[in-house]
Amino acid sequence: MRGHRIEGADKVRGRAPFVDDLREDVLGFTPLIALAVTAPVGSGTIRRIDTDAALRLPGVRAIMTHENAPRLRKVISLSMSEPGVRLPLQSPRIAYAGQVVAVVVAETLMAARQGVAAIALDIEPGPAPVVTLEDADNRLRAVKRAGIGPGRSRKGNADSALAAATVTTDDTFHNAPHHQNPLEPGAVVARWDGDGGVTVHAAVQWHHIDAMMIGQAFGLGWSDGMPGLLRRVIGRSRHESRVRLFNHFSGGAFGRNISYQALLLAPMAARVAGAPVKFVQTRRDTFSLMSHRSEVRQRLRLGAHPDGRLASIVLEPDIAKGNAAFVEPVGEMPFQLYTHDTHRLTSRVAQLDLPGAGWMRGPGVAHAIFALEQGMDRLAARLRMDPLDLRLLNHAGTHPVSGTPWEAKALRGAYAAGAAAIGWRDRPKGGTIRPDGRLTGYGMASAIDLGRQFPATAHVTLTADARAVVSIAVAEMGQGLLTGLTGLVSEMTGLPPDRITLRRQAISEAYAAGSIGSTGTYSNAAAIQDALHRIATRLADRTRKDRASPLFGRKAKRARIEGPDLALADGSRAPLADLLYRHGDQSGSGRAGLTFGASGKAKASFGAVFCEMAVDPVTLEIEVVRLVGAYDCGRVLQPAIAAAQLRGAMIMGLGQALMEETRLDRRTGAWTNAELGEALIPTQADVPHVEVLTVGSGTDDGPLNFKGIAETAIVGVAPAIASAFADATGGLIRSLPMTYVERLRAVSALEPIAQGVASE
Amino acid sequence: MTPPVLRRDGLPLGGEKWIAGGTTLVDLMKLGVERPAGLVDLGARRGELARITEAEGMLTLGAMTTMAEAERDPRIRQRYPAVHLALSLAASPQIREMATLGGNLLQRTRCTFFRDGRSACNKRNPGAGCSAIGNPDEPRALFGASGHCVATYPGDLAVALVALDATLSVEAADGSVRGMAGSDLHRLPGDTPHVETALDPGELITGIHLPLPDWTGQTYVKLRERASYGFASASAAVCVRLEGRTVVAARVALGGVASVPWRCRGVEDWLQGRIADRNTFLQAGRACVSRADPGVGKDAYRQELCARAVTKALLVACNSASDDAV
Repeated sequence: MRGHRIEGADKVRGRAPFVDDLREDVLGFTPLIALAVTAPVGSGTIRRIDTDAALRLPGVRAIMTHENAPRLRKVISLSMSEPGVRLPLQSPRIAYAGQVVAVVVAETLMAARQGVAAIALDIEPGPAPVVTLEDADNRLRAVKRAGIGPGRSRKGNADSALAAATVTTDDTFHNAPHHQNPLEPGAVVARWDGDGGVTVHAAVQWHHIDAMMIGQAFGLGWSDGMPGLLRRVIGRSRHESRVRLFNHFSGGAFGRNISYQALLLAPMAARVAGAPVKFVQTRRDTFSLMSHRSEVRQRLRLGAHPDGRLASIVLEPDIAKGNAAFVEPVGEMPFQLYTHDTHRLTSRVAQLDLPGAGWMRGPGVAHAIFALEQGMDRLAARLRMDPLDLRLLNHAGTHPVSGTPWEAKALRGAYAAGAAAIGWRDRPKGGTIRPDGRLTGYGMASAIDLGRQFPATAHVTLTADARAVVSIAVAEMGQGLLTGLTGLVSEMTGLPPDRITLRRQAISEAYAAGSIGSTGTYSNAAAIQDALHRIATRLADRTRKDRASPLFGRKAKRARIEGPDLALADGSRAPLADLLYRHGDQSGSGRAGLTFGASGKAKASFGAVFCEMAVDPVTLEIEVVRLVGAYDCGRVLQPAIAAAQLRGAMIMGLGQALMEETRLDRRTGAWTNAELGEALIPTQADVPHVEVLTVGSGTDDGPLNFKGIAETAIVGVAPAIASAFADATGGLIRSLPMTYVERLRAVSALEPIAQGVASE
Repeated sequence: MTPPVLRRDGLPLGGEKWIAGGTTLVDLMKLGVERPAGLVDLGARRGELARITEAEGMLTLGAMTTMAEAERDPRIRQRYPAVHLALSLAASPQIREMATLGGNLLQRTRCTFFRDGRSACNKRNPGAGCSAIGNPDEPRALFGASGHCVATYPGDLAVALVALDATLSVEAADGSVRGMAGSDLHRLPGDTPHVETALDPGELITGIHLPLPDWTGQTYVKLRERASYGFASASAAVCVRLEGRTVVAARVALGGVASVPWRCRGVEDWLQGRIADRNTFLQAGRACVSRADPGVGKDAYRQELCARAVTKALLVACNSASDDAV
């Protein structure tokens, strides 16, 4: 199936329900409204919360503070979120500014707002909060692991290789913290049920994990908590839980679309109020209740042989960590991109007085590849090589560390396609004056992200009237997963898409891989394929015993559903629809395990990003004129959706490059530009001609010969843009976003205008 | 605290406010920064106050003309490019369709401590103190700041009006109308930063008068961190009268960097009689910021940005922007 999103028509007609839209007709009840009261300062202890005035307001029903909040049990957060280390409203201690210190429950939103305004906090101030790396020297600790990535690693003796290298670079790069800023601020509805269970309506990215967290916190368990979950992942997972999490569409995500804390605060508030509650996040709440991409500083030294081959990569990241286990996995990807003799990674992490940091598109890799690719450009300049030629020279034919062959890699094709589309080889010299007086610059960078498969199980029924019902609790956050999976099932079975139903209620359907890390479609499709294999085996076994069947008497071994047929190992086949009609409904459960490339080969998506920029020589205003991204994501399942994903991620990369930062008031520790009008993301007017090319193809003819899309496409965009600025002006970018302050710094040593013309 | 009442006629009484397009006021009410006791809708007067009229070469813009209507007017586009640019670079197209010119002039600061509704702020809560003073992490006014407030005026149109010597018509509660220089509208914060304009309670801006343009060139340059829906990090409105290559008169006003739209009279005088070339304009830009509050911390770059905005505006106004590059 090649087309538009299955849920697209409902969304553009306003018929797709988002959590905040849910009313009595869907819920069966009218919830009270709950709003958070947050701490204005980043450290201290609450002496007293004066709720009297608020409780006297008409419509205010309850106020929950650390004093009357339900006690929660410890949770294990597989997603390394804040509740794993800090549960809400369990103590009077303030760990960061914007922390929830009370929740007001009222009959209307207006009453709840008035209640929030009427609450007075009496806080005993603590020591000054530390919220930036600049102020955190004495909090930096060397780490072995940085989140899911390594904190330390080495190949050979990188320091002596660096000392012996003919050409070297040494730069310190900086990335400001920023937020996902999904368009939908988010809401969670919670109701306690008669059997002691809880019904929760939310939009989450990996709902069995989130349901498990809710179950653990309230002592319900997702059955048996962690071991139970693992058991279910390995075995079957059709299971009724007392955590009834209904997962809805989300209006954007990119790492997080609802606060993990809100998933707990809503049931807590419902218990305190004794009635169903809808916890609503204000826009400002989204900055401190939800995670952010953390600040990172990286010293990068590269050493090269005279011909440009990489002799040494020494990367020393300092990573900010908030009140969550999550650490930006900066060290995970930079050594997987280029062939190199030696490397050393030495990471340090500083625990800061900030909300928990978390996943945001291209976690770790978006920061790390910015630094690596800027370093490669500096190296190319010293070697007097074309930046693209330096990348081609160091192209990794096998995995640069393990030496394992790649499952599929079309990065050279991506370089060629992107370079051709932008005219790289014929580009004007950097700084050439355009007809309008501005300076021209070109830049390029590589992109990479790891291919992974996460655990998933799927239950599939093929019906006698030739329909497929797939039960799998996946999360659709706008990325097109439902459409992609439906298309894949159609391809696997030969059934038309309109005969395929995806049932995705989290409370009753099978455990699905989350919509995370560009793995959702692949992992869940692998589980579905496994289920279909099981059905095929059973169906073949039945039909070989059926005298009326064309497959009568054949060996059933290695039977496969190859839409639209059931195919046997000996090459014989029969139409699947006929067999189903004859033998009735067929069901099977399948699973996918946690792997990093099922083939034992190294697996990653790749890309090459090219940028043309115009810079005003006087004001340093920049316009990204063209952005070309050529990506190797294996086979493309849904061209329209893939192009939209890639283009969207490139625009996000443009935001990372040019404007996205959330600033902090170092005195209080609070985010200062915590609103959409001030925390800038690109507008239509910032978005240039964006051209998306796909170059990959699968390793074989199987349906699973595709790779992740979403994360890879943000990688490489920021360094390509930064390089184009350097090409145009000579000013080298060290910090993202490259706002005026950074651009002025970059050119300050170069331009006569910045030297200060003597004024009279 | 009860929800504000909306009335469709009459005058705002104590604690009440006019509402026209509502794009700033409603936003600030949602943030809890503005808490008017009631609103008086000006919609009924739109027929009378949303006209653009011409008399003796002077263009009068009714104060309820939307920013989009004014931006599209061919007379403004041709004769007052500084105004046209100030409008078309402001806010977003959606907001400009709704926002009125009068309301735009009265736009309030974007200072984070003003908008967060809870930090100490002398504008919001007179006498409460200022959270921005001494804070190295947030922008502060380079010009006009006081020991009570360092917030910047964020608007664009007012900066162009100051450069063009525009005047305003202001209607009092009793219906009488007085004139006011555009540059007199906004007040320096001094020790009363909550008093932002020279309007008396109940007074209403009804018209903006643009004098006959006798400049050979004028423009508005706005430097910001994104291409739309972004406030100026620094902006400059410039008008120049050239004879040959000599500047005989100039007006320079700065936006986004001062407590009020900031006119650089010293630089205007300095430019008189100078040759209109790049070097002159680089010096003019630098001279504009030579008396700026040196700023603190990361904010020092805005002086440099401001100087570049002025240089660029002078180059454009003299139509020599593309002749030579750095």
